[in-house]
Amino acid sequence: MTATLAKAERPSQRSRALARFVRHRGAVVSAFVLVLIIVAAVAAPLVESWLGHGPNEPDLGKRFQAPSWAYPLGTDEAGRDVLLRLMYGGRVSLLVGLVAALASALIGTTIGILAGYYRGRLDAFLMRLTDFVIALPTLALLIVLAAVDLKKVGIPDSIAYSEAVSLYRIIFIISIVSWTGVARLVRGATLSMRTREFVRAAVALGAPARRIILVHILPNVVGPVIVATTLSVGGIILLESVLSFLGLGIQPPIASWGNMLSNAQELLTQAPQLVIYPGLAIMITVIAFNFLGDGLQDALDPRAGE
Amino acid sequence: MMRFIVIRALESLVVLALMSFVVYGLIGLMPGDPIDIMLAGDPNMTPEDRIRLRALYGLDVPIYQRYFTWLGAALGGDLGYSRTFSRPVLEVMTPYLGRTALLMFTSFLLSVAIAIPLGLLAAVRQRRLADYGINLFCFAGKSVPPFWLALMLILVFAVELNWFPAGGIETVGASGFVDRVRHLVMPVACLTLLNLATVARLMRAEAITAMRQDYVRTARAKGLNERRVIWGHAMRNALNPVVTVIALEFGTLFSGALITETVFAYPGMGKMIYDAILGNDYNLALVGLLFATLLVLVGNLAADIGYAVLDPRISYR
Repeated sequence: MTATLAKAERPSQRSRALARFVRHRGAVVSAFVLVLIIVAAVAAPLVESWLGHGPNEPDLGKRFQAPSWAYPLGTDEAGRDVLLRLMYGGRVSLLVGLVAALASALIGTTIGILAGYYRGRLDAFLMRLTDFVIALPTLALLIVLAAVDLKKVGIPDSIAYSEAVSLYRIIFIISIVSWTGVARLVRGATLSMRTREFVRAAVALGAPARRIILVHILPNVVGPVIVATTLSVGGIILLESVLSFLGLGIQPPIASWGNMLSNAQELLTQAPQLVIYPGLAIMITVIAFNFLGDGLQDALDPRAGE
Repeated sequence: MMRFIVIRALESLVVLALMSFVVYGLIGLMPGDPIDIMLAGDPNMTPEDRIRLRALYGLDVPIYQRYFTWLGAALGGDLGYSRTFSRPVLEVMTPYLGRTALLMFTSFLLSVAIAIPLGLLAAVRQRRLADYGINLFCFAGKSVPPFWLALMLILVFAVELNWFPAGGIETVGASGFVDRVRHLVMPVACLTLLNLATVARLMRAEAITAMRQDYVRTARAKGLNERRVIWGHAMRNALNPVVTVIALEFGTLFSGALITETVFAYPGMGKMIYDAILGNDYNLALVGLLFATLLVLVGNLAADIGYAVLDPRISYR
């Protein structure tokens, strides 16, 4: 009993952060919207079995159909179910967004901590590298990377031309250009942590660098990393959609919100709704992730959000 | 000051050299071999011809050797031929470069000219209706898929309202200044909207910080009217960090230009690079990418110098 009382008197860090998050109305609504989108993506096979047809089954006799019970959002230019394709496309967008954001966070955190902790030449080198990557015309470079023939890198045919490879490839190439923001942030945080008493005490006690980094510094830079990672998911989903739209990302028949729009220009006059739906899906998801990141920033790092 | 500019320019050159090596290597990994493409066009070629051709084009030596051969030629002004245009790359590229510069420069100036007052307005009306409106607008601008924004502009202003042409740079047969401007309106508007949000949001944040500073309080205490305080003191000081971020936004601006050009069929560098990569035009893609990098680096450099000029407190390393 006493323990709960003490808790009630002095709210913990965590509950105060939660209170700040809840006050950010946009973030709460966004979290709700994201849950809906995730549920829709997860439920895609279920809806598929209800409707009785797949997302990638072309039926040229049923092109451009109006919404009906069998096709809740109608059909596209190849007679495929638009709703199902949106739901399956959502899986791809969310997967790419989350995995690539996590991978970039991992790369960025490693580089940032190493640069901030060891300083000196390593820091100078890593930060130059970061500046180099930032200065690149990213999209043009990604187009080149997406066009690289995997066979020429020595990847066997069976993998290089398999269906799922476009998914892994896009996650990989987006990750290698998206880590710069996190790296700079973590470096800054590490530099300031390094001067704090508890870190200096650990150094004085003779703790090895690995222990100081993992036990003393890493837990203290996690907050800003979570914020930056959440904020980066939206940008990554946008990047994936752009590459897929240009025909260099997720390859058909796998549906993605971007490649659903690759014929958009011809569809604009004929069936504008086919252009509007996937774009809205992307925009709503990205706005939600951006608001969520904003809310997390207020919650975890109240001084930075001003 | 001069020293600072020289050092920054040298750094940019190093970046460009690194980029040229990376891209040269990557281009070699793209599908389709230039020799295979040649062979496909002539059924009489034998495997021996293939080996001879590879040697003739210097493709039988290691990649770094090929790179230095290429670099030597490039520095001597020989950037190679474009496969699809059958003309020297530089000659093909120049008009594209000019058109992209026009698109990017116009959108850049417009977006800064709109974003700075917008961010300032949001800061002055903090937590009021105008602030929330601008904030929502910025979130939307950062979250909209760039190509989709372009498509929506086409849907509304070209397909539905028929105010502006949906793409291209001029109507066939009807050339003229007004016609060209009409073709520019939508690509410029699209790129401006894409670029606006980041600058406006940052301007708001910086202006809010600036307005809490002592010099603003002093200015108010002196009895300056609010307009002088905001435009003369708060904005002037908020501008410096904004300029540095704009510097880092040049790469994003080019990415936006690439998408805008592709959707609006605007023959600029972005569309040229994209078409060159898809069309296996290696020389054009390589040189196009390098010039795009150069464009971004020059933009960054200009903004860095602008920052140093704007803020007299900066000491030039």
